[in-house]
Amino acid sequence: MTDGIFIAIGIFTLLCGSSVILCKSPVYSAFSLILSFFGLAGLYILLESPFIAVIQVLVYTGAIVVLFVYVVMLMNPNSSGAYRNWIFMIVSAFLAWAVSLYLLKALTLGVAPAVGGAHALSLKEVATLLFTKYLWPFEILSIFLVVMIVAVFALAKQSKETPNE
Amino acid sequence: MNAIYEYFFLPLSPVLALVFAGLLLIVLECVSEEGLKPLKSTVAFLGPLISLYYVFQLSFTSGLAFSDPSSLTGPVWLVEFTKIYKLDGMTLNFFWAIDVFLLLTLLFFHSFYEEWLERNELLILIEFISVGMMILVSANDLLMLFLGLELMSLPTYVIVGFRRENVKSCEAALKYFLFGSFGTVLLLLSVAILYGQFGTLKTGQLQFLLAQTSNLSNPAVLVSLGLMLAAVGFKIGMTPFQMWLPDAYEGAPTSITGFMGSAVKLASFGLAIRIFGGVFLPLAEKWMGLMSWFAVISIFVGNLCALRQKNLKRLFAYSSIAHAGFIILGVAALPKDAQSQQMIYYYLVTYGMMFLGVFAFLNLMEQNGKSLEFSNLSGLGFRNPVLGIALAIFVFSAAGIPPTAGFFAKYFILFESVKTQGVLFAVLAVISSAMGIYYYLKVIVHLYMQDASGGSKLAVQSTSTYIAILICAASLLFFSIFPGRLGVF
Repeated sequence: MTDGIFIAIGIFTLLCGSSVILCKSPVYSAFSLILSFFGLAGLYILLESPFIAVIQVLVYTGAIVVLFVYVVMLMNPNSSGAYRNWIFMIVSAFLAWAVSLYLLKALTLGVAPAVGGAHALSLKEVATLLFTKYLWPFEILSIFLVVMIVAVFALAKQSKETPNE
Repeated sequence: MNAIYEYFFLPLSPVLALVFAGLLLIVLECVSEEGLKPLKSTVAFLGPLISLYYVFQLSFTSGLAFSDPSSLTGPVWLVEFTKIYKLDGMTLNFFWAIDVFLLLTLLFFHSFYEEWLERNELLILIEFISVGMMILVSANDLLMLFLGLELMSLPTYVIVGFRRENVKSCEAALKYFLFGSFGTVLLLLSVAILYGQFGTLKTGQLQFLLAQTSNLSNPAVLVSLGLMLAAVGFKIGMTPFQMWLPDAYEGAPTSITGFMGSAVKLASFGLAIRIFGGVFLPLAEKWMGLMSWFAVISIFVGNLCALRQKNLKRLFAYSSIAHAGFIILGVAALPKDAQSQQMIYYYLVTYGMMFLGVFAFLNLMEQNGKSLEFSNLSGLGFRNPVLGIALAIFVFSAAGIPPTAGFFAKYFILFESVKTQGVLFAVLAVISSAMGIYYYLKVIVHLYMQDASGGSKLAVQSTSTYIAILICAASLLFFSIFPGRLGVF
């Protein structure tokens, strides 16, 4: 049963992933990306970590791909002039495939299969970890966000010498 | 409470001083009172000064409670903090260098305060970039390493593109951003593979696990190593990954290029030391030879490309690739001789002083943001003897001619390389630097042996930049006589 679902979701994700690259229109690519992220979320649920699945949908589909679509709509890129070098694509696809195959060999050698394997983290456990064990990295992230707000402000602010027409 | 002071605030004080200075600047930014301008620059200067004070204080205090956290009983986050924050002599040295570079850079900015009156964000960003560097060089954990790297890099991309009206500046920022992000992605992938394999991000634990023979030929470890080599290569400008560097250095506002070439480069090599002198130390056999070849190729590419340059900014950008090659040679010597760390540090700081000095000088000469060429320098040595001598010292140091610090930096690195890797790489490096002397001497020729008619005058008169240039030049002479005085350890 689980195997069947896994194969179905896997094929779905792969199809959506390839249509991201193969679609001529950037908008179609962006929407295929959303679908493939949903497929990935399904895989996470199969791995018994619903939290990561939810985060995946929230962050990637909710925030990042929406940004993609916005950019595509604002820029209105010319889809016919898309750069497409078939030899380059095939070679890089082959390389990615070879490296992944090589990496798969490591599955049997791992020292700590504990990552996600033993039990899935619940929302409460993640929150507890964030405010106890990982408090300092979490604080750094807060500094990081403040700095990025300042940086965006610096980029977006109109300077007096060069008013935007 | 006491435990929190001893194990958190005290060891972290150099970083916290900068954080508070940055936050205070943000608050001050909300008040648009004209009279606050001097206060803002005072706060900006006080941050690194106080930080420097704490660095010295920490280095003089022996038997710090933090250095032996085994007896600590406190909150979970505090125990975890003592594991992911590494405070040793090298870290304090790097803190010292970051503070000094930040102070010198602020001195240059100070003179351009009028010009950039509306751009106070620059001060805020540069304080926080330094915070990121400190977190990066003190990280004992790959998560902190990544956070520090991002806190350093992202604001740097922004300040490279600070002059939005300038097309070259925007192009440089975009290129730097794309290549930098690509490097970051590779680093993240490498870290993720390591975590998936071993379930830990602590440097010490990873090093212990990697040292076990069964892991030496583990495919995941090898792929992770390759990705990390490329990622670090992107960050430090190693040759197959150096394409972004000349454009980014040329397009950025000149004073910011100075900061990038000195402080950001220093912190990036801190990353290289933490990764290759730490996590991947047990795999030394796998990467030492490869890295040495990359280093030698970097030196050749940097020097050969610099030969044809007329634009001074671009010339020093290419020469920085060659210098990075030398430092990578030192990194490749790390596994066999831990002393090499000191040599790398010495090279990084003296090179940074040289780079900052040269770019402060270019900043003084540039008119309307137009890049300088050789002909602009003609006869400058007679029109302005002090600046002429300072520039000559910088150029001699870059070329590695005694009695400047640059000679000793190169000497130490070559010494380490010969000691650990044999003479081959050292000979290649020396041949290549000999080629480099040609373009360095061209600067001297234009300074002292050319008719003054073609030269241009100083574009800006600025006391603080003068002071900074003199400090850089004097330190290059001082540290060549007292190499041991560099840093706090």
